Amino acid sequence: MTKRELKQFLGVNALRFFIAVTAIFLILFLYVIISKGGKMISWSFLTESPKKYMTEGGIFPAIVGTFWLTIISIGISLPLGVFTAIYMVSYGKPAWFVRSVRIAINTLAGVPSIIYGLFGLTVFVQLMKLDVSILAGSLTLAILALPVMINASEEALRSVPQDFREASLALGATERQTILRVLLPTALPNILTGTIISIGRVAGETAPILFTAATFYTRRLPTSVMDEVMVLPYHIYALMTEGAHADKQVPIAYGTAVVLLALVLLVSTIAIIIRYNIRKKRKW
Amino acid sequence: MVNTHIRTENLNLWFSENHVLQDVNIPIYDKKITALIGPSGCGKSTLLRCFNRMNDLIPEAKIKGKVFLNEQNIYESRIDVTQVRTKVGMVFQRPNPFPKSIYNNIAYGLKIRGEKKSVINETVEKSLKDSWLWDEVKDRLNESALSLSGGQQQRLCVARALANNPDIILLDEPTSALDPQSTAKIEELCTELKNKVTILIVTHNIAQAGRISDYTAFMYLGDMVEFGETKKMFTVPKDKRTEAYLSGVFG
Repeated sequence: MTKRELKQFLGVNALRFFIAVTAIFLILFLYVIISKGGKMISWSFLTESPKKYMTEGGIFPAIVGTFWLTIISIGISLPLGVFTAIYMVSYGKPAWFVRSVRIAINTLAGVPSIIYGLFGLTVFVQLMKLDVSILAGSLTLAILALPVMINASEEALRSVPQDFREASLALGATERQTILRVLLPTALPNILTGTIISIGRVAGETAPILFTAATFYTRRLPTSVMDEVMVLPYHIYALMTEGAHADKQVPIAYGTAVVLLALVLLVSTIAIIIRYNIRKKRKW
Repeated sequence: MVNTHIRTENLNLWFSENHVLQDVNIPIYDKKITALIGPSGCGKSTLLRCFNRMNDLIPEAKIKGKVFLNEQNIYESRIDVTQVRTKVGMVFQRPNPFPKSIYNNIAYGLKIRGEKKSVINETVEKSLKDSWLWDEVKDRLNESALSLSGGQQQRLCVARALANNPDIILLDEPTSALDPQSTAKIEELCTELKNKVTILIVTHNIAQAGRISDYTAFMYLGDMVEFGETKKMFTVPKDKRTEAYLSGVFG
């Protein structure tokens, strides 16, 4: 073996080693969660309320809570994000203003999520008197999702070829018509991908809803956006830290983790499928 | 008898500090094909884009002078740019159909003006027939325009411009991305269309200008060097630079 061949051999195998380590962590992670929680999963676990101080029963209220928080927060942040992105791409002037907005957005993206929780507590729960509720939690999560949403939308809009915009304007369309009829429809699939990534993020967050939406234990389902709710990530936290029957609570916590993991994986899979379909159709 | 359809009066254009068009005066005659030729960077595409105010999209562009469309200066402040662009259609260098169906590509200009469905259906068919695309696409109007070949896409862009019922069509090197057969078809189409509309075509291809145009304008470094009937200019160019360009000394 020459020196060059030896170097090549060592290099390739070093890369193999690193990828193996990464893969082992992922596999180990899934194995731990699923081996500890997998056996909890049953139809009744998914559809029943917790019983006997969370030592028995299911997690249905937490699934419902996570569902509503996610839907409402995305419903708030999607239009906000898309409209902000449209402004920055199409009308954003002067350049220094757009730059400062972008710095603000990126700073917002770097803020630890517990700070969002404190902000939500101060502004939505106390100042706006929304109390601990689905609405307060959704607003907090919406702000958390906003940077991702704006960046994804902006990137999607910028990736629409300039040709399309010129073609539309040359046909006598106004800037507004061009945005609504050409830019947005063309960018929509990519905006959706960004949205789905945000869904995954929002569904798994604990800290922002700790003080704004989540409740420790309730058997009843929310009837309005002003109700407090159980949510999956906080439910795991509560099971692991509160209560007196660790032997019964811990398996339920891992079962909840499996459900949360499955939900996020499901959402990511949908994102991948959508992206795949877009790439297949793209020809420009 | 020829009527002037568009003319420029001392048209000057700058991109920032760069003086791209210098005192351009050119008449474009009604229902004729006028070719704009010249080496790369001479300003011919920029001049073309002055006629439908597409240079408005470039923030650093500054324009001085007048462009008269039917004796109306289109750079006056009270002019509605969207009206101008409806009257003056444009076909670009690279075929750029929208990622929509064939039908919706043609219908686009009509839809944004809120035309009735029956009018749109009629116009879509007529425009596709006028651009010789109807027989090729009549059974798949709802398919994506991106499924068409490059030559078909370019004729679709012509049809899309025709649907607005324009007086003038500007073509910006419409065949430079096309194969010889598609090019021949576009050229024939232009000759056919000049019965209905005034055509102004920018081309890199001197032979193409010779084949299809009635008048030719030769531009060099932002100057309108020579303008005249194509036949005359191609046989007896007045200017040395025109002669050099036409004989392929530079280009």
